Amino acid sequence: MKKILFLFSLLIFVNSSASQDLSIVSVGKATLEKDHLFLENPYFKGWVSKSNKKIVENVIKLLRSDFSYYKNRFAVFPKKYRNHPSKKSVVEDVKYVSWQKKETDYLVKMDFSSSVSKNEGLRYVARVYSINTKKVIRELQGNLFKKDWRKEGHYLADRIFHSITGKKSIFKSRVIFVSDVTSTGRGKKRKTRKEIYVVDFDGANRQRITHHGGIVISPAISPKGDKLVYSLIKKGKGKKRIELYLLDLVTKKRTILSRRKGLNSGGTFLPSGDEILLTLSNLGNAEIYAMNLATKNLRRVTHHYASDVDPSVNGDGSVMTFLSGRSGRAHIYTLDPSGKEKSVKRISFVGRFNATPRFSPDGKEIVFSSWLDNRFDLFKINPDGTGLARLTKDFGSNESPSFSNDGEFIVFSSQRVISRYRAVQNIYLMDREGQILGAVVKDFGNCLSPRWTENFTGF
Amino acid sequence: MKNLKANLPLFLEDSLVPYARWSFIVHFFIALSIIFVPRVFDLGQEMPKITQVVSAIRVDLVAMPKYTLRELKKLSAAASAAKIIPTKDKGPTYLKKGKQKSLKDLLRGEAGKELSVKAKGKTKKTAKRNKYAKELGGLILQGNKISKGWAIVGDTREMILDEFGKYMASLPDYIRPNWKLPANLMKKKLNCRVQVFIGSKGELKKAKMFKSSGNGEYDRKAMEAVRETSFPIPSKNIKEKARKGQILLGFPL
Repeated sequence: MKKILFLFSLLIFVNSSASQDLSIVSVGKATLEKDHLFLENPYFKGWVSKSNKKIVENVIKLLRSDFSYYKNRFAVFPKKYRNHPSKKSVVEDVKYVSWQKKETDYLVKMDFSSSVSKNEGLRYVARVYSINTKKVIRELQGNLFKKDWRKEGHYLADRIFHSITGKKSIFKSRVIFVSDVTSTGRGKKRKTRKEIYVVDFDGANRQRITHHGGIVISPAISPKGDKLVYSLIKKGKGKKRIELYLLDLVTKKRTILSRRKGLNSGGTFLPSGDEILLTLSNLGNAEIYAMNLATKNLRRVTHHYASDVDPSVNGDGSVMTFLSGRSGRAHIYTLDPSGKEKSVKRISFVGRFNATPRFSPDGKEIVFSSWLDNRFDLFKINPDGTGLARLTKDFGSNESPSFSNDGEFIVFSSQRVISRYRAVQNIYLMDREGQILGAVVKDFGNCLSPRWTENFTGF
Repeated sequence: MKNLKANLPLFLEDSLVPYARWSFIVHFFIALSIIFVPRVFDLGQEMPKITQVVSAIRVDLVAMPKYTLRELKKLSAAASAAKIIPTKDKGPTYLKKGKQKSLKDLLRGEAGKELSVKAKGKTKKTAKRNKYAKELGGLILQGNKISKGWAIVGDTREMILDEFGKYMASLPDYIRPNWKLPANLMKKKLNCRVQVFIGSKGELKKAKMFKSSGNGEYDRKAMEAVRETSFPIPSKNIKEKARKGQILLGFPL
């Protein structure tokens, strides 16, 4: 018996040693499956005036429009908006099973009611339901006023987005840009004027910021959205001067930061908001410096006999990307901006002329424009020089890219030649993969140098 | 056994027979266990040796990319959708041996014949090349030269792949379009491995969860991706390995 037991255990040991060789291959990263979001028509509690109902209708359309920007993330239902109010209030129970059968992932219900006081506008209560987990994930309350229903609508959309994804959206963002719409005359009599404007990310609510009556270029906005830096080209007696200005958007106070000989331009804020990086050429060729806004003290960042321009920093300010001619052609480099010529690395090796490199907020990509096929197109590259990819093609001449605050979108200017003497330049929006979503600013003179801002104060 | 006993000296006869008997029994049971025990027991088998296949690509960047990201994705999806059927290698074509001729005859006639046979061979080759070029949808991209491998993205380490390795390296392009996750699972760093058994016609015979991610929904999505995929037909030389389930798919690895 002992011998039999010994044999049996020996056999199991022998067998357990036998195995099959396998080969494994990585399928890689999954693509995101869209969430089905159902925005139910509003429920009116009590009497609501016709004009207020119109505002509510506009807000619902705005919510649908906002979420449509994230088409890779959300499928919004119903597919067609029909203006008839819901018969069910948010307080009524939701039949989760029936919504699950319709493959809905999230449901948003809203109640609107007239306030007792005229000053409070329309009151709303919105609930966001997760159908899969069968619970209310967020309840939102607020007021809608006729004068700024768009702002409140974007704010509501952002809170709904955040309750589902846990992240900030672009719905409260704005874009600053330069336009020559105030220019006068034609041909030799043309007087070019360029000023800075701001617009909502969806192209609405356009406002003028500067009133120099001159040529303003290269705007940059602080992370808090309370300061604006830009260059103003002034024509003196036969000589042009480029001066660097700081505009406090809250107090409207304007300060000259630099009026040195040569270039004073290309300013960009460091993440602290207290310092900027700028390009100066008073010592000969163009070099990049860091300037403290309070003291105006300069610290040199680049030091090379070739021109170094166009700085942009990543989210934490640890890496700066810039354009340099040190290889003989305009190529993209990175360095550590905390020192001078610190850890300089060349990252682009192809392209006849590369320009305007801009970091994504997460620091994982740099988008830039490059001259190819007789026009500029947009490309992206990783900070280590790998992953060069083309974003635009057959869409005019595309320049000055700027990432959105969440890194999912890129705003840029695009020029189209209409005739031998005329070209138009508009601002467009695309996603990170290069799909053009539409125009942000169109038919407003020649628009260029767009800059995305999550926060914008003072207006 | 009796003859053996008869021929052996007495002292050996007594000592050897029990050992011979036990040797026979042990070997018999070993043979049985190799066949039956794996099907009955699952007793913590030793992990099999797993070799990772890395798609071999060398990308020499000589110019700015011609195609945009979206165009490349469309090309990749089209290439995956077109099943690449391996053709049989017919081997070289030989000239038929004719009657023995003099050198003069050879110079007059045979040289002409040779040229015409070679020309025919060339047109067959170019026709095949054109057929492949159409099927792969012009994957050779200006500025990005593909020197080895099947995929257009992947690790840039050089690796010499055999036929089975090349087949495995091509699989992610077929599966990836079906590999989707909801946002809540994308955030989590999960991974699972699925063992697939592929038939001689590229049909999925069986899919088994080799290593679970610990999340039921994640595993279900990976199995869904495998079941929705039309696998390429394995060639004659590797179909046995594909049938026996020597292929592991890592989601993501």
